Amino acid sequence: MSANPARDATPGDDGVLRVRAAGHPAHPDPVLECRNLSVFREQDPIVTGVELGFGRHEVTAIVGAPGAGKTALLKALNRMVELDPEIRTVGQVLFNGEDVRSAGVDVLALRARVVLVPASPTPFRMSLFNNVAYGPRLHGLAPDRTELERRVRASLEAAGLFDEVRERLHGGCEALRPEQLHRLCIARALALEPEVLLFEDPCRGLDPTAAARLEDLLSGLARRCSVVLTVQSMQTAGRVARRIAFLHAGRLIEVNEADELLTKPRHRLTEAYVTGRIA
Amino acid sequence: MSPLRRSSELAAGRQRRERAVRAVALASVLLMALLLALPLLDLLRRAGAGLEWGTFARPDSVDAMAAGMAGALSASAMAMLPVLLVATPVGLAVAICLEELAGRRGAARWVDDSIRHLAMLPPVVYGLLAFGGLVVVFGLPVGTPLLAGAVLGLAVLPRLVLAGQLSLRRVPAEVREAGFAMGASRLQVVTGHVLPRAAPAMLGAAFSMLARALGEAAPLLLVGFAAFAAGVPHGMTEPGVPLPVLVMRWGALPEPLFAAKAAAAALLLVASVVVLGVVGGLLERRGDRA
Repeated sequence: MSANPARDATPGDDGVLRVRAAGHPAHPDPVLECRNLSVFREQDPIVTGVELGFGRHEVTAIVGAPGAGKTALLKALNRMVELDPEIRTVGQVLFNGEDVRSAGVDVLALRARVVLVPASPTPFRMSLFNNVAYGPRLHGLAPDRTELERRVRASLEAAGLFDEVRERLHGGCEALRPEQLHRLCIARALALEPEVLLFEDPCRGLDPTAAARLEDLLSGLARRCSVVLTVQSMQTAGRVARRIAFLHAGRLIEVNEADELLTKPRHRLTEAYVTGRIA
Repeated sequence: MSPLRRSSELAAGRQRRERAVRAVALASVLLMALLLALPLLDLLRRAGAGLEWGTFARPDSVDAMAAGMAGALSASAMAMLPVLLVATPVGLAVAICLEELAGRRGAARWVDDSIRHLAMLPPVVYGLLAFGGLVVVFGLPVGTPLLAGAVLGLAVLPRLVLAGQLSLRRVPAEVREAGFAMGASRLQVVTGHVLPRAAPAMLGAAFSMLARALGEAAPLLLVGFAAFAAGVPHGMTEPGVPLPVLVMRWGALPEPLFAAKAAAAALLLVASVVVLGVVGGLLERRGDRA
């Protein structure tokens, strides 16, 4: 295959050039599926003609260099990308077989089922308890206080934070360390009991030890829900994810099981990225 | 010459330049302080005979001995009510609407640009606009605190909108993203996360605009406030001249006692504006810490 993805491209019905990704972009049991998904900033393409399935209860990593379109692709999955008025998307994103962009879809309900955990861990200006309880309260998921407390405790435990904060649940979040802030934001998302968790560069700004602990947590989350994350490092993706999708210049180059993609990449660009020859 | 020696010469030159820049900066600060302090000291010197209790307690009079600023204080306080109760909430609401709810295209962008241009207009132009709009069209009574408040509210409105927008822009984008990521609607994000963080800066902006309105005289002169008003106004529609206009009127009179009383009134105006600015700043800092 060529090192230049544009040379392998064929124009689709809508005139958008598409590259057929190497490996296995489709998934036998997808929770989310992109069909010819393109994202544009005004007229400039950010992501072009992506065909990709995300497996149920498994961790999928979208890997690529900065500017490859990872974040745009990730945020297109729950329509967070549409918050930017300059962005428009073309194509389909199927969530359990239903197009999330079709008429009548409640975008807020979608974001409560497919929850994004942004790269920057931002606690709300409220107590730790209220931070985690925010989502269930907002969407009316906890009919009474007992259910709310159960959700908050279960989410904090799943995020590995409960033991550290059990004495100051009703205090502020100012004293939390960066790793604890990340875990708090994960707990806040888990309190919605989502079907899919989307992580934007989840270990950004963490020291290697904290990042390793967080990677363990992310791997374990696949038992509760499906996980999609963007990451720059193939090594991190290899440690956390079962499947890796490699994105380059807005085009999906290769998708495969993590072990296979890292050891036997099928595309020259993937091989160059895995070996560190391009970044 | 050794490389080390040359390097120390370079360092000495760098230090000399740094010392020179610091000296220029310090001299600028001292010059500014002097330029601000001199007029204040001059006001204090001139105000001597005017600084007696009666000047603040009596209403205005044609007799210099009997003239006081109680009526002007009352008129100024009442004129601040429309600014505080109407212009401030409207200005901040427009800021929230433009910055958070409306898009960046079409009519919203046109309104945004227009407000920025209106904010650059000198206040005296608002006097002309107010005369046409508020006096001729709406028929507001001339020479009353109601008209003064309406004119001042109009004059500070675009600046209030701009200050409100700046306060909202200070809230990090991550806060909005965190709210949207939890499935909150735009209105829930704005009311639940953005406004609580922007509120202290908005409060500070509101106080500084109130201070600006309190000290404004130019637009009022164009809507018929240059006249004499005896007595203390007890209602928004009773005749009353705000403090800055009184300062101008007294300052223009030939009798030395009027000049002294004008200086005393100007000092009071300066003190009020400073107090409003300081209180606004304190509330802003306290809110930011919370």
